[in-house]
Amino acid sequence: MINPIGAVSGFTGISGISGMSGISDELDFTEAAKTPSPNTDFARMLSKGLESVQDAQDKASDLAVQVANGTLQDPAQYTMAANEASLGLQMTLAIRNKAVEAFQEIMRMQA
Amino acid sequence: MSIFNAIGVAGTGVTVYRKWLDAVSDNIANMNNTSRTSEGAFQARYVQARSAQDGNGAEVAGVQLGSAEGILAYEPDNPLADAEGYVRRPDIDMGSQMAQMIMAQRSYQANLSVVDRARDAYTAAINLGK
Repeated sequence: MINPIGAVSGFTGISGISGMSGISDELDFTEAAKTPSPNTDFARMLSKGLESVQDAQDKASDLAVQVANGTLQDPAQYTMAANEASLGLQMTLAIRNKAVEAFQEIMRMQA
Repeated sequence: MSIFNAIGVAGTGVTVYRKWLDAVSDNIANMNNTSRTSEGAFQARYVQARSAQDGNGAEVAGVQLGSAEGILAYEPDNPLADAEGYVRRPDIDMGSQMAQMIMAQRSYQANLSVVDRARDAYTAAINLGK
């Protein structure tokens, strides 16, 4: 009646991560191709987040150039953009560390 | 703007108060200008702030100019004086300008404090569970 292993099948959702790299089209994972995985939303969110972190970095470096050549009127604009960019980078690193941690946890399971 | 919104919102406030400080410093710098009675006096600048159109923070709507009429001062020694010995001086009150400067400066600092606290809060959130 109750299939205890059935609960584990929830992990198949992880295959949606292939959407991040965009190589899934070439490799054609049969499962990912068959059904739209719920995790494609997550992958899209992640890449959107990375884009906005990149935007913050670009803005900060633009303002740094303006500080250097003296065209920036308000130095606080630069320091705030630099803060924002550094926070974004820290967040990216935190997410990556969590992902690596989770991966290692899964790898340890098979022992 | 969207991830760390508080920093962006405080940044708009910083910009508004920076412009106010600029206006006040311009007013104080030109406070003792004299001009001929046939010309207008220096017009004080007043920054007009409003809530930003996108609902995130504040913005400067425009700069209003004070009266060009100024005050007529009797200074017969001034080379710009007219036949009756009058020159035109801007009608700027030093005390009011100093008060505005303190308000602008403290508000600028307040917005930067918001940035500081927001950064601390976000850092704490990022480091959660480490």
